[in-house]
Amino acid sequence: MTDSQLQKGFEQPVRDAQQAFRQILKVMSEPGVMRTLDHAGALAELSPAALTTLLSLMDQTTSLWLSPSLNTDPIRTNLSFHAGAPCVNDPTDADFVMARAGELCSLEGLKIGEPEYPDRSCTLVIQLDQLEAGDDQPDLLTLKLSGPGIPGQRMLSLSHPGEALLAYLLERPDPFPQGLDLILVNGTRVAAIPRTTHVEVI
Amino acid sequence: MKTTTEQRQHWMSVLAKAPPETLLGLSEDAIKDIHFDIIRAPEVGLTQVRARMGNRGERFNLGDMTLTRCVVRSSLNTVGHSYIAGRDKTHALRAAQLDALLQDPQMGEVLMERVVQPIESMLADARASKQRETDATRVDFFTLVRGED
Repeated sequence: MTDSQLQKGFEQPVRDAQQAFRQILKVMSEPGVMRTLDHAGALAELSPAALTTLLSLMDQTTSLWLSPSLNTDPIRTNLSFHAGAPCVNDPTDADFVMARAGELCSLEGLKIGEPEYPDRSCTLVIQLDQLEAGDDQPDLLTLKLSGPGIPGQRMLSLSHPGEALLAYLLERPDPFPQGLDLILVNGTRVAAIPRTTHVEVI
Repeated sequence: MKTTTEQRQHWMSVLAKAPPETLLGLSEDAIKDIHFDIIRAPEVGLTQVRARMGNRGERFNLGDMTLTRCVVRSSLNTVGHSYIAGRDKTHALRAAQLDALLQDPQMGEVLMERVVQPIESMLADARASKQRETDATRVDFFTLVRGED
């Protein structure tokens, strides 16, 4: 570990992690809702929302796979220092996948949980170039979300999340209650598309 | 001069064992011109202490102890760590700040002389006087063979 690459995590670890967790809970239970996550600063290529999410959700018992462009020394050093989370080389072993849009070429083999324990699945944290609520962004991809936690429907506009991920969201190949949950981050903003949400491209 | 792991272990140990008031008093002047970024604010937690019977047998869990740890970065770009027994956050913070400065060659030499060495001799004196006190009341037990079978 190189000491000089260390940077500050949360200002107040307990309070910040609880507040961030509450926001993540909010966006997970009401898919398409956007919240601000800026309890931790940016770390190299990781946006503040991405780092806050990882620091809130991870500890020694959760394994993390970092996509190639994020798998750098400063990021690994800081995550292992602040969260103690072990990094794995194979995404199929990971409880959390942190990737930039398009870097996850295949979702084949990721942990989807077991029918008795659907919680033992992988959570994807995807860092996007753009993310907006609503559907008034003509140059972005607009998703229409419906399902539990959504009265009627909600619109989410985003830059392309990658072919594999988009195909997964539209097809939902895993039998419920198994599946992957998705947290979308951009800058200091976060939104989520859990496995229960029905997704259409507009 | 590059500091070795042993040297650093030594001063970290002295800083951790130092009486807090003495440590704060001795180091006040040395650190007041330096800016520190806090990487991990002082936080209290538990650690499990393990031991071996007679330093040989199987390892066993001796018990838990309260611990305060802290990490800072100094404006000289050195990172200081500290682990302190107990829950004194100002002590942990100061020990981490001093650990950071002691890694800098110039500052380190001055601090060794002004802070670490005085505390070290103080700790040695305290230990020696405790030892004398204990030795004064030492009882050597022995058992006579009682002749029974």
